[in-house]
Amino acid sequence: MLEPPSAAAVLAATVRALAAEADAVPLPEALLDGWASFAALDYQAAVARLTIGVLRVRAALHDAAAALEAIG
Amino acid sequence: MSAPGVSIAGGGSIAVDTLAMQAAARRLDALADRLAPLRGRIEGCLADPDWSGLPAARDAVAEAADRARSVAAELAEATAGLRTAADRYGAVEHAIAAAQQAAWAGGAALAGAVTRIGSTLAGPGFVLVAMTAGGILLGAAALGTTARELVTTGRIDPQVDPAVLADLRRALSSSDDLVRGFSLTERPTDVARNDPDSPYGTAGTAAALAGLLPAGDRSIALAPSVLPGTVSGPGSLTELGERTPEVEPGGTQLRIERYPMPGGRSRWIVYLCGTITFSLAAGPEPFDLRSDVVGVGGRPSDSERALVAGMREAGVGRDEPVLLVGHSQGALDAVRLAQRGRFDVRGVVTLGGPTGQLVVPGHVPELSVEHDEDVVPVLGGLAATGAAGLHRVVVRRSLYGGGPPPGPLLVPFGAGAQPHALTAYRETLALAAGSPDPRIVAFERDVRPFLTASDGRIVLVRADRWVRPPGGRPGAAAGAR
Repeated sequence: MLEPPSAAAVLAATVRALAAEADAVPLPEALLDGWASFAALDYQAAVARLTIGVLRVRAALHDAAAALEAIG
Repeated sequence: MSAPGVSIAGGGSIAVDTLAMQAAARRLDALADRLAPLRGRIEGCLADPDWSGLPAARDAVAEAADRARSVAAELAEATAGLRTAADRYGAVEHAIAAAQQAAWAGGAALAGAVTRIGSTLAGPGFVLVAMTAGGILLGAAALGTTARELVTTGRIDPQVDPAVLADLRRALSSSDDLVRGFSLTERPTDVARNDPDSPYGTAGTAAALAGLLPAGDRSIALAPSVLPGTVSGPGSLTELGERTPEVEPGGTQLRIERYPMPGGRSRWIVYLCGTITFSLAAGPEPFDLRSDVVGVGGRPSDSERALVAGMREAGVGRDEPVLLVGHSQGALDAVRLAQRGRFDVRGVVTLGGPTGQLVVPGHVPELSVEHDEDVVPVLGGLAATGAAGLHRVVVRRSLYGGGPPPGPLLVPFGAGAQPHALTAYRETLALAAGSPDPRIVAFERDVRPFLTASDGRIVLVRADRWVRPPGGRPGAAAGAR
């Protein structure tokens, strides 16, 4: 008889799914290929910050999933 | 994606590619829409009670939630910033354009004054010297432009070179300052403003030219034809362009659509074609070069008289709402009619008209479409500045994206792919019609009752100058003398 999955394993699956969902969110720098046309504005920096922000969301979720998988 | 090469001016902006900025804001909106549910699920996951004993993993998920919140906030800020910039950045450019205009006017006035003072001190020969120096400078500039054209395109097409046309526009707008400078009558307000009605301004110059035209006091004879059936309102700005009559010798110049309103009144859309012949003599065709000159001068031209007579013949009442759509000379007539206040004009759409300096009343929304390579809007001078310039919404487009035209322009003026052609303007209007730019959206909202009208009847009008009455009325109506 199989043992029921541990709470960590259940959470790991949930967080891994969230990480996959975050991976599917397009990076701003890929979306905003027209930024060069308003280079005079300070929006290229904003794009960079947004891109880093999305990457950090992805990384944090992957870290959490890995930690949970290691426990569960 | 924004339409390539199209920018919206007026309401502030002159050259900023505001469509691209709006498109970028929409992309950011889409990204925010993708992130929002993910953020909700991450926070929902954190609320799960089974995190006990898993502090490190919970901290990592909490960090992901924090990052997602920060990204959402930054996205909202960037989107709002873009939309604000699209609106306000243009106001700055508008001010810059006004300053450039004043600089050109001041330079021209100074050149005129120096020439005058020099001729006073050194004799009339100084004028010749000044004119020779000016000629040499202009010649050198023209030679440089021609050489650049030849190198970059393999042809010489200065008539469609946006840089040449922009300089020509400034030069035309500054010519009155040069003359006033020479006569030492230029005032500071003349430098700051670019008023076509000022002494030696474009209106005065055109009026003087019109005074030199051969006499041509003629009546207008109309031949209206009512089309069978009914028509729905145009539905979109695109269709307004499509319904504007093509230039056709002897053909329809006016298309008038009548839509019933509750209470028995009617709503009207009047479409006008452009210049049909380039005659300065008063021949049968009222949509000619003569009417262009007279119209720019400010007096009612024969084509404008044909417009008024055609509207009266169709039954347009003084208090009934009218939307005017005109190409080239038709645009000039539309703006002039709106200025005169003889009808209840509720909107004007101009396609390639020489109307940049002509200001319609503030309550009349105006949408103008201009091509960078079209010389006709250039002849209207620099766009009006100040509040009047902000009121006029201008859709600008470089047909060739700043590069060379796709082929030789050996086609009749205003035909085919020529920058002044109605077909090209229809295309640009269609590109603007899909724009999310708030100024375009506001204009569409203003004229929506016309666009969405129904059960319309169409009257096509052919107007001729009544050159020699052959013993009776040559058409269904005559008047508007």
